[in-house]
Parts: sequence; C-alpha cells; structure tokens
Amino acid sequence: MTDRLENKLREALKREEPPAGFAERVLARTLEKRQTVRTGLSAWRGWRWGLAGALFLALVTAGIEYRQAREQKIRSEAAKEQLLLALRVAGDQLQFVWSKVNQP
Amino acid sequence: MRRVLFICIPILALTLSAQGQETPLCKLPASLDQLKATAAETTDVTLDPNLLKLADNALNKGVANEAEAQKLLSNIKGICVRSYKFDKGTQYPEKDVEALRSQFSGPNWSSMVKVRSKQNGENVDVLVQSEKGALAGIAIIVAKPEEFTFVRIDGAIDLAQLAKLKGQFGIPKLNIPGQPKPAPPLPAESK
Repeated sequence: MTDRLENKLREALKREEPPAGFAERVLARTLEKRQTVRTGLSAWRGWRWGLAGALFLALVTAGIEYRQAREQKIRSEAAKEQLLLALRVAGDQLQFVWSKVNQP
Repeated sequence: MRRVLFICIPILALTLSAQGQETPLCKLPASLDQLKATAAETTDVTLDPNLLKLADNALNKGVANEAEAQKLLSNIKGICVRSYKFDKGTQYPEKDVEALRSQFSGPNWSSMVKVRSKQNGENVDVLVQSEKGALAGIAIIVAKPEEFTFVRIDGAIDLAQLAKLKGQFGIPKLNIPGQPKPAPPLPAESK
C-alpha cells in the first residue's frame, strides 16, 4: 500500500515539460501587465501636471487683469486731477475776463 | 476728358480737405510753445476724448461738484490749457499772440470779448465757435506782461451748466440772461 502511494506521488510530482511557447506567453503577459500599470501611473501624473498648469494659468491671468485694472484706476485718477486743474484755470481766466469787462 | 478729370479730382480733394480741416485743439505757434522753457511756472493740460472718458470714470457722482462736472463733461470733446507765468521783465512777442488769435478767425468763430489795455498791457480775447446755431467751443486768450494763458474747450458747452458749478473749481457765477438772479440778503432787524 505504501508503495502504491509512493508511486502515485512520484507520478503526480513527475516533472513535465511545459507546452511549446509557454515561457514566451508568460513573459509577454508579464510585460503587458507592467505596461498597464505604467500607463495608469502616467495618466495620473499627466492629470496633476495639467491641473497645475491650468491653476498657474488662471493665477497669471488673474494677476494680469488685477494689474491692468489698477493701472486703469491710476490713469483715471490722474486724468480726473488734470480735468479739475483745467476747469480751475478756465474758471480763473473767466473770472479775470469778467472783471475786465465789468471794470468801470 | 481724362485731362479734365486729372485737373478736377485734385481740386475737389483739396477743397474737401480744406472744408474738413478744424483748428487742432492745442496748436500754439512754435514761439509761444517754447515759452515753457523760460517760464517760472507752467500749467500744461491736454485732455482728448479718451482722457476725458477716463476722468469721467473717476468722478464721484455722490459728490455734488463732481456730479455737476460730470454733466458738463458729457458735451465736452476736448480741453486744452497752456498757462505760463514768468519772472518780472520777461517778454514775449505780441505778433505770436496775434498768430494764435488768427487761428480762430474762421467762419465758425466769433469774438465774444476783446479787451486791449495799453495801461497795464493786459489783453484778453474770448472767442466762441458756433455750429448750427449752438455753441460748439470756446477759446480764451489772456496775455499779460508776466503771464500768458490759453484755454480751449471743444464741445457743446452749456454755459448754464457752467454757471451751476457756482464758484467751485474757481468757476465764477455768470450773469446769463434769462437766469433768475439770487435774492439780496434781508437787512438785519434793528433792536
């Protein structure tokens, strides 16, 4: 009985040659798996860079717009001061003219 | 026929361009413009429509005098001020001032005020431009021995609105015909 068991075990654990192309198929599948993992990682990295780029662009645009609005406000204030100065001078001269006209 | 066209087209172009020409807002004779180099004090303001629009944006409607100025501004197309004050003894040629006055001798311009004073050498001109019966611009030339001022306001100025500014920005109260005069103050009651 022991012999029969031993024979059976020997038979079961006997080395069998793999079918043709087995090693190549296993290697191919391993490479495929590696590539799939790599693509997943790259996609994630691409997303991050894209998001960072978009945020950067938004910040730069907002900064430029803020600066332009500020410069516009400064120019407007300067123009307003010039206008008030011009009206002041015009008023002074009109006052002088009327005083000349109304001189006895 | 071609010869006729050759002659007519340039003449037509010249005529049209002459009609379309307006006195530039701030064109002073070169010698007067150079006065700023010798002036002790210079005021130089040029406001074209773009700058007037910028100024309009900055005016505060909530402030009374600025709101009035904003109404005045709505009809103004441009403002030019050149004012030079000199040290005693500086002179500038009268012919240059005359050259400036002659710029406003076109058909649309008329002299509203002309004062010549030999006593103190102060000469004043106020010229108005009219277009279709309405005021379209004003030019003020004040030539004093130690001061020269040129003010040009281009646009349909409402003198009544100008009067409303009531001394603000130095604008004097103007006696415009038809405007109600302010009532005189009541005398104080004697005790």
